[in-house]
Amino acid sequence: MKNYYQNIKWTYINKTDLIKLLITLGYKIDYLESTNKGYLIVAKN
Amino acid sequence: MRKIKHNNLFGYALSKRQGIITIKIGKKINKLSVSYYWARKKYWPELERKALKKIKGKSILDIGAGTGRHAIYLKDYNLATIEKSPILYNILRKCKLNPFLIDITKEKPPKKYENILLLDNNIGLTNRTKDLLKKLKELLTVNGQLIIVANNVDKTKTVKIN
Repeated sequence: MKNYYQNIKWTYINKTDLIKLLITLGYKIDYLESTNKGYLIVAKN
Repeated sequence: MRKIKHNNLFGYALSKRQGIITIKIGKKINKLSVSYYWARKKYWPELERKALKKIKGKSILDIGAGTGRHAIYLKDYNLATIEKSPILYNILRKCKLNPFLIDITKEKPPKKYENILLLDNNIGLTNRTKDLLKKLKELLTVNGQLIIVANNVDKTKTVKIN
């Protein structure tokens, strides 16, 4: 199987920091679900 | 590991439908099966399936739509997709997923949307998260919603696509 390599850098932002940032910017957190596999956030304008 | 020079290898790799792609998220090096990016809904992470159920209203903007694996299920909406890779843009165009070939960190589409999707770690498309979220706020309608899913991708994911 072919391997592709590119130094793609995605920024990792943890849930807590992201929620703080969203609230600071005026979003309202409408839904939050967090599991050991990741998180889902619905933020309203 | 074979290194291939390509100005947009991510898009190129995904278009090949098979293989392993190595990406870095934060400090972690992740190996992902390319097939993951073509997976049908039943093979998605559970949070991504739930995310689509959170959609309200009629208009959707899918940012970093990739192969269109999410967008393909949203054709009944007033859907637009954004992709900066020309290769992936062409895939989205052929699938009639109304794509814009733009880099969301530098440009923005002309209208507002009731739902903006940032799935599959696309919140990390830029290290200027604050600037990105400010821009997306301007793209949302009043009471519009931003739907974000970030997956832990510290393990190799291999997903069947058939």
